[in-house]
Amino acid sequence: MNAILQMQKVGLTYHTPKNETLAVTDLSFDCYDGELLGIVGPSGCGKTTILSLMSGILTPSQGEVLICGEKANCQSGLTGYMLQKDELLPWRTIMSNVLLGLEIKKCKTAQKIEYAQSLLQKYNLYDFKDFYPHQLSGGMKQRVALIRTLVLEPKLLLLDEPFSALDFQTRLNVVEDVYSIIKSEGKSAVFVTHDISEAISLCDRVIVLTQRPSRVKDIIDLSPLKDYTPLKRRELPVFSEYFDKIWSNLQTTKEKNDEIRKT
Amino acid sequence: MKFGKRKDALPKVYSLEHAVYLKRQRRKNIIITLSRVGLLLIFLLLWELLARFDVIDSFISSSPTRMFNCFIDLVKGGELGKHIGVTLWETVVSFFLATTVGTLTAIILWWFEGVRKVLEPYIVILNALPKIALGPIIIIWMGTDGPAIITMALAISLFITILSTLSGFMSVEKSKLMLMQTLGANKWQILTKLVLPSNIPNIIDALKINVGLCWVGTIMGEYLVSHAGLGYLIIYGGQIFKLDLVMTSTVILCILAGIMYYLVALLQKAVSKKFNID
Repeated sequence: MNAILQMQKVGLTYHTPKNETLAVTDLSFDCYDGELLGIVGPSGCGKTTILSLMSGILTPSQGEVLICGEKANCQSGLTGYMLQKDELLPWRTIMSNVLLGLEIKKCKTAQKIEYAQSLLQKYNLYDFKDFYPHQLSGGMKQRVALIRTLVLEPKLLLLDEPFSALDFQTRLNVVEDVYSIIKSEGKSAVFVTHDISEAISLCDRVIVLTQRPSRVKDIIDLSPLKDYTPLKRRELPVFSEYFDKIWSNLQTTKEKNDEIRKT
Repeated sequence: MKFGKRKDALPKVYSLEHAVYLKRQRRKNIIITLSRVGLLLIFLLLWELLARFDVIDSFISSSPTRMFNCFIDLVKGGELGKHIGVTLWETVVSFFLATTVGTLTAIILWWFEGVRKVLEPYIVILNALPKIALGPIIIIWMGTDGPAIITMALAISLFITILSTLSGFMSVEKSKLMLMQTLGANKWQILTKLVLPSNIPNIIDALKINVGLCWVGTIMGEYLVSHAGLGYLIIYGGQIFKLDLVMTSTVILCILAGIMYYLVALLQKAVSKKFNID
């Protein structure tokens, strides 16, 4: 299988006047074409940092981040980043929010606009294209944000806990929506979360990280679940097995860390 | 799919309860308007009566009829238009200068972090300085006419415009900035597509403050040096102990400042509607 994303011994150090912090170190893994790769880790382990590295906003201190064989670069348009909140601009209509990326990239062609319209249509948002964000529900806004990312036709989607701002019920629905959107558009995605069950219900493979400085602790293969949608997966008996596996992985990293702190 | 937040989903036929509520609201508004007008009328009437029956000395306190006569005299003398024109011109020019120069400076300071860090303490100190202290310098440098007065008004309004606009620019949400970065936006695009539009309410608030400050600056400037203008009329009236003139000019000033503020408020309404700001 083709690797869309290659992380090769990636490390990043943050510098502030008072301190330098090693956020991630020696991080190596790939994300394959058409794969939904989950990254789970204890809070504060630098998950957002990892996505910023992949999108090219941050340059690694060590190692290399390759997207389709090229060094990650935020101008390349190979990655599409979806943030925690929808971040729709309140003074723009839904349509013009969706077209924001095209405007910035200066490629707002008739063809692309048509593509944007078809995406809105496909995901039941076309009737709302002239509405303003505050007139839409949280789940709808999150879908608009996803379409804003998809319009740019990125090779790799980067999802930074995109459901954490939603209430539980909306969340289950939006996870379902996002899953089907990503699968039907044939995209690859890296999905970062601290919610274990969300990771299991959405992903093909889950990487468990250690606490800061984060390293890969374990990689869990979820391919046996690949024929089930997120909601269906939650009903499967193996769901809790996977949950326990990831949970204990996270626990051991925590305990180890606590021990280090004690000594 | 949720339609609950659609505006056009509101029912067009109201219940009886709602009709009663609306009626009560309308009545409340009418009472407030009547009270406002009434308050002014009672104040004027009291003032007039107290002056008529010599309870207060109308030489010192003037009176509504005396002010009205004074106003007629000013109009007949053909001077009033000139004085109002001079003051209005000075105020409007300084208002536009303060707003444009202030906003442009804020943009420059936002763009260049180094320049901002170097200049910030100077702007803060200049803002804290009581501008009236600059009076003598301004007179000597700018002469005793319009330019001096406009400089004074600018000195009063410019620095606060820069500071408040800049602080608005700097407080754009980090996550929105990150969104622009992930979309590959350059600095100019971040400015025009995010920072400026999201700061329109801020900039309009600065305009509102500027209206007031430019009036302060203009009148203060006219107190210091001038041959014409409402500030000149007031100070002149004071010097020759003609309180009628002082009061009349002050009232005219009130009305003009009110109108200008109202115009900015209208602009705010129009812009808010266009940019969908609550």
